[in-house]
Amino acid sequence: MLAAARVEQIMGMPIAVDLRDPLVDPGAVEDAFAWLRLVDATFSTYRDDSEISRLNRGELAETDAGADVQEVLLRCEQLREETGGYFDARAPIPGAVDPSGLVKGWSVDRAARILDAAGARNYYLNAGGDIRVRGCPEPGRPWRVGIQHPLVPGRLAAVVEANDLAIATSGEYERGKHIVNPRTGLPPDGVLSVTVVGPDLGTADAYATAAFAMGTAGPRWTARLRGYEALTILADETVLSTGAFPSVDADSDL
Amino acid sequence: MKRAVTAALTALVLAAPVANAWAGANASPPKKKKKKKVVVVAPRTIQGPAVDMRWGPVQVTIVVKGKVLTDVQATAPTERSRSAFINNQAIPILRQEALQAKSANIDLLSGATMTSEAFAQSLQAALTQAGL
Repeated sequence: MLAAARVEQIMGMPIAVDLRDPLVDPGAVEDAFAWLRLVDATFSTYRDDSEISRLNRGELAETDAGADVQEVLLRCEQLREETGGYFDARAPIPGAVDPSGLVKGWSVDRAARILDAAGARNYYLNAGGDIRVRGCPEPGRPWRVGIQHPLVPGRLAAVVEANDLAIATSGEYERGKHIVNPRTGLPPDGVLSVTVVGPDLGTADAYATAAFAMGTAGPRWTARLRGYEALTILADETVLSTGAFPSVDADSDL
Repeated sequence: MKRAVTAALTALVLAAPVANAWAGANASPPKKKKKKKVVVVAPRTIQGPAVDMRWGPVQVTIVVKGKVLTDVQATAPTERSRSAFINNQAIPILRQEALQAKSANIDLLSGATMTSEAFAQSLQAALTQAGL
């Protein structure tokens, strides 16, 4: 079981895969990491030879880019429209595109499909705190995912129980990720973190980023999402969650 | 506007235990309290594997009494300033997080920081080895 648990630093963050099916070939975990490394090589804005860097230097036309790049850029554009411009892959670098806000979740979703294809049914993938769970950690109980309190390390804001779910959290406490309101260029006011759960991690992550950038207007926006639920922690530590957010009593077992 | 939002959503207060705001069809039934048996056992110390991070390996050691996690310690390299930061700042925080997470029976954390993943991975291995 432990042979298939692994963590590796990719895309500037630790990515962990923990496969709990003892009969599934651990090579599937290797394949998932090989895919994630390929994604880093293709999409990184820190690598001069990545397709995204070549695109941004004008050396590669968008129509000549690989299928994965075209798929991601198209989805970024859809998400920009869905979020009223609050998720915008063209905002971080003026005159250039930086899809990394979507690429993390999108690539984890694809890595999960690699595990699925190998017969895996019980596992998690965790990319720097953005998570995809499937099945059970052990027979008879769902995965329990703690939502970290944004101000108090060691305290949980909520606990989510799930058998098949993507969970993304955005907040200013995340290192290296400085979310700004693209309309003002300033960090959002009045909100500490936004967690979004749903079927697709790339989408959940983009929605969490957008809702966080909206500040105190975020919770109202998340209430209208279809297929996704959200939990927002305001600056005064009030927690607002949408009607069907799958949280359970965090202290039930204390 | 805040009132409208509060009406549309469910407001919870953090300091208190987070209430179950979920009344959907998929809600799990309330858990029955487990019967507690009193057994006196000697504490065991179990070391997790060293998990490599960019700045060096992080290794977690746990102390277990019966089925209860009583302490978490971690070692990280001290040579570089980055690592010194991990030792001085992050490890006590992560240690606290781990004890809290285990007491809430958490498998993993959303919104976690960089170091915590290697920490959690080594910790998870130690916990599995301990049969927790």
